[in-house]
Amino acid sequence: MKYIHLKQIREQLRQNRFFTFLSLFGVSIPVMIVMIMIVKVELSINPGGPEKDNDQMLFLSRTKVRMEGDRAIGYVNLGIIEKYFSEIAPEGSLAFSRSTLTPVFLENEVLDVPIRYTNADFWDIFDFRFVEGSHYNHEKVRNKDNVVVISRNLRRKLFGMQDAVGETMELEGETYRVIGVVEDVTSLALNAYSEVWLPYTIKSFKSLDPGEIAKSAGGYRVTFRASEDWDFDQIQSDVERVRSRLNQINGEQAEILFGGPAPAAESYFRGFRDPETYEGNLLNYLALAGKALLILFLPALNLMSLNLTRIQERSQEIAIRKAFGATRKRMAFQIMGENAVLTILGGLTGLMMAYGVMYFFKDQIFAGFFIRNADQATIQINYVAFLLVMGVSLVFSILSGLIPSLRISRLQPAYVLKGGEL
Amino acid sequence: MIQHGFKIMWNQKKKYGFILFELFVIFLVVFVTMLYLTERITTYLEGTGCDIDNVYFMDIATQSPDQKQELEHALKVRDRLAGMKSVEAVSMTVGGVPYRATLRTKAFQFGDKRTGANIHHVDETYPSVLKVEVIRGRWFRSADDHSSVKIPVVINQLMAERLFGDENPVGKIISEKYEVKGVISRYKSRDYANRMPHIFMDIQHPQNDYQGSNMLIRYKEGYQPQPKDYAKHIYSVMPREQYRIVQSSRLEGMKKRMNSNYSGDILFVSLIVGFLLFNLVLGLIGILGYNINQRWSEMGIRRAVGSTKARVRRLIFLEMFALTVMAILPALIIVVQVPAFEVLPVSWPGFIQSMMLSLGLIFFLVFISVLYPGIMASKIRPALALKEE
Amino acid sequence: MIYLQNISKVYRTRNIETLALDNINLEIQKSEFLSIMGPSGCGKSTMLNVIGLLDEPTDGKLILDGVEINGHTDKALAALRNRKLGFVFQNFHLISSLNVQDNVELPLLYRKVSSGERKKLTEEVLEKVGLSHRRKHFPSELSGGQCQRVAVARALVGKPEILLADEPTGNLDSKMGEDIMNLLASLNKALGTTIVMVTHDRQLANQTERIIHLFDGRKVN
Repeated sequence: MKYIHLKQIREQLRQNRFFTFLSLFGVSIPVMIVMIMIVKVELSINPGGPEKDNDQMLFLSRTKVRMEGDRAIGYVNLGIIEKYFSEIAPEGSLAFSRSTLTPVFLENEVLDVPIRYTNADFWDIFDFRFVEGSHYNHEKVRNKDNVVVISRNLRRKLFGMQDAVGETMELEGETYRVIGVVEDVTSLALNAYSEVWLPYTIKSFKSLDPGEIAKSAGGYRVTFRASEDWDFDQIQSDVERVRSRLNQINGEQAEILFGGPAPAAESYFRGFRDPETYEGNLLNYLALAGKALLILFLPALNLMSLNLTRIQERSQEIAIRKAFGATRKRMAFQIMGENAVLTILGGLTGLMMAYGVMYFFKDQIFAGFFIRNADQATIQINYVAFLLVMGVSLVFSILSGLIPSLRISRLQPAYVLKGGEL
Repeated sequence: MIQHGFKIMWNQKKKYGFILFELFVIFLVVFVTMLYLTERITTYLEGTGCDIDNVYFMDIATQSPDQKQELEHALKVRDRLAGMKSVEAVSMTVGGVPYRATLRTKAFQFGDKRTGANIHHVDETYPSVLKVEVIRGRWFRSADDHSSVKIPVVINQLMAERLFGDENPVGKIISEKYEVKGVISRYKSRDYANRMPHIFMDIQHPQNDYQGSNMLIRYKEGYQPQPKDYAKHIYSVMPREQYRIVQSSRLEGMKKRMNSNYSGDILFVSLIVGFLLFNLVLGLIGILGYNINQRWSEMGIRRAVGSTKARVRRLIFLEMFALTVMAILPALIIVVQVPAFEVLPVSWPGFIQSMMLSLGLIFFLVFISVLYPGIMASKIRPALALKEE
Repeated sequence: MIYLQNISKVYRTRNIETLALDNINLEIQKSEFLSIMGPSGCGKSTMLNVIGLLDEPTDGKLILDGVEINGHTDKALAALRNRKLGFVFQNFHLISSLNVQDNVELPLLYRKVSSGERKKLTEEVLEKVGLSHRRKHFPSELSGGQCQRVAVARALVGKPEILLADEPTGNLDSKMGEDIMNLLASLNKALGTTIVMVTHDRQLANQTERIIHLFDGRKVN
């Protein structure tokens, strides 16, 4: 487009401040919304922090057992993990944990603190940053030592500004020794998040009867780390083999199903859904895309109406332009050009607004309203996504200039100049 | 006047075509959102049917194969805990604890009626701990019921309806094994769950396979929970080699944790729709403002011919009203299909409620958008408006 | 019928004061057909606006059909306009989104008239201007002369005592203009409507009974 055309567009927009302002707002808000949505989904899928390398991980957190008219759904049974999964997983590639809640009594208040029982390899697989001390190793786990790792946040609440390693704390009526303090973890990291971590052996028993295990759900979340020798396909087929073995043991009596192991995105979509009836990733992606499209589509409608209204207003001007030789194409381009410029400006504004909103309302948007720990979630705007959003918006807004342009082309100058209306 | 407003809008329907379409789409969006929100909020407000304040939960795992011994231990523990000064009541249960993520269901039948139901094994003190409301019959009592062959159960109202319709379930036998002793008004495993059938079985009954026992402890008003002391009492009866306290939490904490995600979602959706509606209002104000500007001379003429300022303002409102009605009627026709043909599981009262809310919201927003243009229109001075250029 | 006593009108903008009408005294009898003439900017339209209760004089007294216009509310003025006055403008000022019939009946909407009565009156007046057959058409489908005739019909549908016309033939060719003048004259004769017409065309003014000359806001002879 020639420079003079851009200048014209700029003049048009400048002269009609109200319209420009409205359209900018109208484009920037939906863009902001869609960008925040995208970031939220991305953060849920990869919350960063300890789970930041989760593109190398597969997650399994749902088990379903069907027995004669009986159904049980829950997390994964410890017996299955200890007896079968630890066999198929090479060393250091299996993490499992059980999280629960317990009150911690401070001077003036009672805190319901999330605690997490984990195995030793949990610390190898998830990337925690230690501020003090270190984590428990295999030996400590084996010995069921009463040791804990706590979060920085909790350290502050319990011990103020001083170091915590070596200190003791009371949990569920028992005394534990603090051996490490980690940077706070975002509550979006479903597999790693907690404020207290301790060896799972403290509260578990050796595996139960194999017949029982094969038809039990349990309380543990499982993470498999893939490696060169043990890739996603291999992991999934190995787990599938475990499942067949379990069902062989079950025979006619019962059937056990797993909701996974699945990569991060699928795991996010699966959530707490019934493993048997999970509708698949494609549908979920489509649903997300559909919502985004709808949100981006609405401002195009607004723009279209505004365009039409302004054309009415400028009908004299347009008629005169036509009388002096402007072609339909030229004027169509002018309208679509205006829309395009507005959309780009609006989109950039929307992006900035998204940054602002996410910065100030980080907790509310990303970590749920009642668990505040989004500090450690690293918010990264996905620029590819932004370009896509801009692309879609541009398409919509340019299209929204089409119909008004058609109206213009039908306009007969003489008729309008005489005083008739479009 | 209303007729007049409609006439004007109808004659201009092409020009206003896009606002019509936008209103149409937004109404549909608002309606669906209202359905979602009202469903979520009603579900949440139903609650679990339990009073969970001051209740503490302890999950005790065991690997003792001796069921009889387990039961004895559990009963002793229960009594010791109930004897504590700070404790009001204690109940033994497997299942029956709200805000946990695990579910167990089974199918039950009575005559030719069948239903699945969530199973909870609880004891006779359960109602005094969680304060569930018994509306028919009574809760089971070991003194009275343990001599019977059938396992005493209490079911919730929904299950009663499914299996017994209007009949009184008390005294009837389900699946040939269970005798209904009472009915409670409602119970849900969590705030945001849908209503489902629930059945409570007597955990102590000799005919019932003993499932293990967790403790629900209701501590007295003004006291804090005392997990250390509870644990002491528990381990004083249950040897540590066989039993382990696997979870120790306040129900309030569990509730908050479980609800936080849902509440976050609801607020997020509301915010999004809120923003979109804000967009709509902006757009409407803009378009209407422009239109009023264009109709200067028309406004002048109306005033010249005898219309008052108030009337002019009212006319603008009526026009918008007419426009909105024109946009919403087709939307209503579409939307009525939903309950009529069961596209979604929506009841008529729920549908009507959402529809009223959506209509109210849309008309309110349209009203706000028209305020400023309406006032602008009425302020038009006829002498100026009709001036010859 | 219409008395203007020492009417003055001053327009004040931020910096400038314009004296549009300067001490006008005028008496108009019932059923008179008079014109007000003068060059552009001399205040003719302003005077019409004052008579038409569209604008308030800064000074002076206006008596309309025995009623002294003094401190009337917007509502009262509107009612007066509705009952006693009819307007015809150079630019017709028809409402483009309404058809001929709906345009004409507009004044009746602001009175308590049943819809049957409205229809009757509208029919009557459309007959008089010869446009009954076009009653369902829209202004955009009519010629200039037809538009003006609709405007005249609208002005008269409520049977007002006074008709105010501001350059009614300004946008019409000579033939149409003549038609309109004839129409106005015949209506004046048949209905006895007082007509005050503003024009700068001497030929047209000569067709009226009396001519008032204005120059710089003052009456001149």
